[in-house]
Amino acid sequence: MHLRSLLFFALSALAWQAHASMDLKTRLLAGEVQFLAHQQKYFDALQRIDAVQAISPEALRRALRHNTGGNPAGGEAALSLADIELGYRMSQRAGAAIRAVLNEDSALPERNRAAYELAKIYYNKRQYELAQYALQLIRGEVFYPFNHDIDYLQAKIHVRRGQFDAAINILERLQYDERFQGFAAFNLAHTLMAAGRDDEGRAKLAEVGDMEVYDEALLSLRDKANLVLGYRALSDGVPEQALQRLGKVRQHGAFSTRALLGIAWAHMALQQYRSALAPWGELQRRDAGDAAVQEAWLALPYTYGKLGVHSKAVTLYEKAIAQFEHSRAAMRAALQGIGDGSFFEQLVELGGNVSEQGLATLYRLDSMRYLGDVLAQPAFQTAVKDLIEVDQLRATLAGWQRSVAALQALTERREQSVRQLRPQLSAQLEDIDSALQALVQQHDALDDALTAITPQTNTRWLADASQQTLLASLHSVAVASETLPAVQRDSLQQRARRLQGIVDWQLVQHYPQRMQSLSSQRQQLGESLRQLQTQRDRVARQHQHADNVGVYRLPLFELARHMQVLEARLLPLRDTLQQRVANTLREALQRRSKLLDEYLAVARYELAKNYDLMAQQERAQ
Amino acid sequence: MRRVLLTFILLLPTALSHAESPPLDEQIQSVKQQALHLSERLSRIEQQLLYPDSTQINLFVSLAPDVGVTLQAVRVDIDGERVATHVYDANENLALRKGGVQRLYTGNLIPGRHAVQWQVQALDRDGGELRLRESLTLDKGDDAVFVEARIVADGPAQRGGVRIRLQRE
Repeated sequence: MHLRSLLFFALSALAWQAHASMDLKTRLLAGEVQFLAHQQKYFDALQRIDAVQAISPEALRRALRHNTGGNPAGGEAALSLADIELGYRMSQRAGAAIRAVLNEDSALPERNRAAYELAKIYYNKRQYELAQYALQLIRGEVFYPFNHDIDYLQAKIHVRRGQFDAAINILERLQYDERFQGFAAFNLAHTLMAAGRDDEGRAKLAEVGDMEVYDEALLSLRDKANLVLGYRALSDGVPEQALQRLGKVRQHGAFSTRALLGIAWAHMALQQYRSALAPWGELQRRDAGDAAVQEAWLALPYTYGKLGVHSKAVTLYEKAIAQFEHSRAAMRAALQGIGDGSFFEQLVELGGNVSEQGLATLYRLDSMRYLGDVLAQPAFQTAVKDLIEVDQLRATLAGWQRSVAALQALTERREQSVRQLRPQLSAQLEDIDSALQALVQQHDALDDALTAITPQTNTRWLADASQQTLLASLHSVAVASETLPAVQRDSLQQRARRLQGIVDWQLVQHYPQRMQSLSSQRQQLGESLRQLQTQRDRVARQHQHADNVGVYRLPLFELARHMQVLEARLLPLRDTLQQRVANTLREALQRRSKLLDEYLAVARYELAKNYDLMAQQERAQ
Repeated sequence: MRRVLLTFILLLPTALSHAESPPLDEQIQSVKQQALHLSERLSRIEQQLLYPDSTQINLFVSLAPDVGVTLQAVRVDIDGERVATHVYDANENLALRKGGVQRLYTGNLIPGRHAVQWQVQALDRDGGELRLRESLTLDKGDDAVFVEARIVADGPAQRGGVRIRLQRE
């Protein structure tokens, strides 16, 4: 299983154990990164990672660490981030993350995994010495299956460094591991041959060629082994053996046309011309862009010539010439498509789908049928991926530039409306503040009064309007009576006191109801205060927001400028990458075109020769 | 010896970048890094301008690991108005099963009380159709809101044995 799958499996398996205790926001953001990464949307995932890290550098690592079992050092989390970075083929950034794990105080298993990942990065960059150094950092006991992953990488590094014996020792052990079934043995066979142990290598390759398998990848590997053995037998002058091996290659696999070609030539070598007709004929029914098929177009009439059927040979040479000329025209069209850029338009439409299937879409295009071999090469596919990714970045950047322009327009509009709105908002805020102040005073006064009133004292606070008026009148009467003669004054004041007493008695009588009414008034006042405060907060927020609108102008301007800088870097880079891909394609097409010219020359010569031979036959008859 | 190796490896990036890596590959990685940096800055400004915390609402969907359903579609209404719909493909289901969390919607909501209603269509293990509904009353305050609709097992894993569990922050 690929390490990425193992890593994600570990992530998800452990994620839920700690699920409950993780704070929701951080967990959701980390989960979103995983959601995107699991769909191989690595750029989007990295965007999220950077966005989360910019807000809280530790948040994502904390979440991923939590998801991976909460180990204190967090090396596993860093490795899973590095894995996403590798998915987007940012080996430098991933390498830095992995080196950080090696540098920090991580647990031994994580350090070992980091060293292994680093070794893989160096291996993929063809820096085999460094890959070896990275592997040497692995320490302590390492368990299955990780130990075999390390061994397999070690064997590949040994092969690249020419240390064949060391590689053979490892591969001999690994060939029995089901996870490397066939592949370890295939590599072992090649390593044995590279080490000069040709017979052992062939024997091992024969084992691969004879294995009973049902998986498509292994079936393809088996075909490849038989193809190699078949062609080796042909070049060694043992066509019978070649027939035996090539006959085991599947009729419709990726290696079928080359196998048919080999079978036909093996029959020719055995002078079994009639037997050769069947594979030649079968090849002629295959895709005319295939190099093996083109060879068959020439070989079939040649075989009829050998059989002395010159009239058939003449007809078939004429067909072959027409076919070759058609192919040459298609190649010219392909070269033109590369030159005018239309090929690249189709190529970038593949998007991230630079797989065999995706390339097959291109392959179906007539002009691209002659590039099948090149399109299938991993190095070429990497070059195409580079081109597509840079082109996608260019398109993405154009989208961002439109977003920035829209945001600039938005902030400008907001600034304009804010300029108009600000005085209004300020006035509104002032009004609310005044109203608020008045209400607070009212509320406080009522509060004080309510605290001070008891049934024994100050009950007149509870008097209603008519009682207040009555009490005020009685008070005026009492004051006015001071100027009267004593008899009248005393009588009046006595009556006034009696009436005040009645009011006081009434107030004491209604004390609970009045108090309840006042409390209710205070409550209403409190509610009004809260509403006014909410209104004030909303207006204050609008005010603050209005103040803040201008702060985005400079960052947006800076962002637009940096985007222009990136655009200036992307365009020439895209052109360089396109040029690199174009050169590879052009060279391949020119090679094929040259070969086709040779085929045409041979076909024309053989056509003329067979016409003569046919004429001789007719004369003889 | 190990310390020497480690030091050597840790010191490598500078040496690599100047001497041994293919320059074109470095250029590509560098523009990718620059693009990611700009993207982060853009999304920060976008978020502040378009979705300020005081009105921001984020809706997420996740699957509990043991639930065994295949999501088909989800729909969310806020105060009776549809704000998000999504139809799931196989890749998204796989990503959810592996522990990923889908951001379904980011938008704005005025402060106050709101009714959020989720409707999920899914297939159970036997291919039977499930229709799940769940509601949440949300008091939107000054902070950004994060709501997760998690499809969880509810009793035996059979038809009807799942439900939506809503969580908010």
